[in-house]
Amino acid sequence: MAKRAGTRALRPRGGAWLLAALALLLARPCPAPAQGTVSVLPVQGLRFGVLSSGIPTVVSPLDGSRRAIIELVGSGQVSVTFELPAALRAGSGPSLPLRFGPTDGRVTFPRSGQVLVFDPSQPVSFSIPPGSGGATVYLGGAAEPGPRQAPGAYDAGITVTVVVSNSAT
Amino acid sequence: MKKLALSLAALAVAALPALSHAQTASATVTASATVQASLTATTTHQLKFGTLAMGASSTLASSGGSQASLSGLATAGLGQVQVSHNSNVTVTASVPAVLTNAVSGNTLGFAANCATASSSGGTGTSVTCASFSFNAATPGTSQSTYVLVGGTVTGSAAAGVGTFTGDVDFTFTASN
Repeated sequence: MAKRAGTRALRPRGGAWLLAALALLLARPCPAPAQGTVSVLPVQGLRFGVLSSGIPTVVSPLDGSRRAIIELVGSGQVSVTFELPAALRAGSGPSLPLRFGPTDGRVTFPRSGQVLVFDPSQPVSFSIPPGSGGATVYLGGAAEPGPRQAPGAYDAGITVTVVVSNSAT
Repeated sequence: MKKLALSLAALAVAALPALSHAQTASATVTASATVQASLTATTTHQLKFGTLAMGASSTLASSGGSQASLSGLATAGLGQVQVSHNSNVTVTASVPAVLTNAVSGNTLGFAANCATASSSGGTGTSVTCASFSFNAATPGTSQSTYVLVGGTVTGSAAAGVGTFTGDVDFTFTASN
């Protein structure tokens, strides 16, 4: 009676299947999200303009010419975080304090017309549906020069970080 | 047992699409402001040579050992401009070459000398009238600097008698 030893050797064992499946799982490349990529485009800085010593100035997120504007182009579930400076600086010299309030952040969705008001000191999450035309983020704030604020030009960078989380498809 | 292993492997592969992937993007916008300087200039005294003999010249020094006093209502003396500022200041001046008699049109030669002082009528530090500058001791803190104006009028008997005048125009600009 002939033995079927050869055939048995070709049969995968349970452990081998598992290893193969795990190898496949690990080897499988992370799929590029067909949807859910978002570009961040700085459009306009936050412009406090000409200030006088001792007189605070507030820029509303509704102030078209002075608010900061950041365009988010694309779609996906996003989380937006601002790195807000505590002050503007004149080179390496004096500083000019800044303040950001809980309603100084706004997001608008051009297609739907929806508006989301948020506190820019906290991350804000929202969804940009595919085909919605992206979203626009606005930032206002207040500059508070002291009574003996040195004259000059002051500035600081505000970094906006957007994390797009997607379910890969 | 094999079936269970196969099922687990299949489940793992099937579950793969549910793994999330995050994309991060960032950009920087600039926040900016300009704090304007406080700057005012007020003439507190006019430069007056007083009454001179016909043909006589006169000099009023705005600095040095022979520095003159500020003018009074009826006394000769230096002119002075009080500048209140909280930043550095650059100055230019337009100085006439002559003083003119508005009635006769006759003129006398004129040259100005200028100085700055930290107090009204105080010790002058000589500067060139046409262009000079002075600094704020503490930028942002308002202070006064005094510009003293002296000069030399060159007498001319041919110019006759009368009142001779001219304007020294200063332009003050805040700089940082």
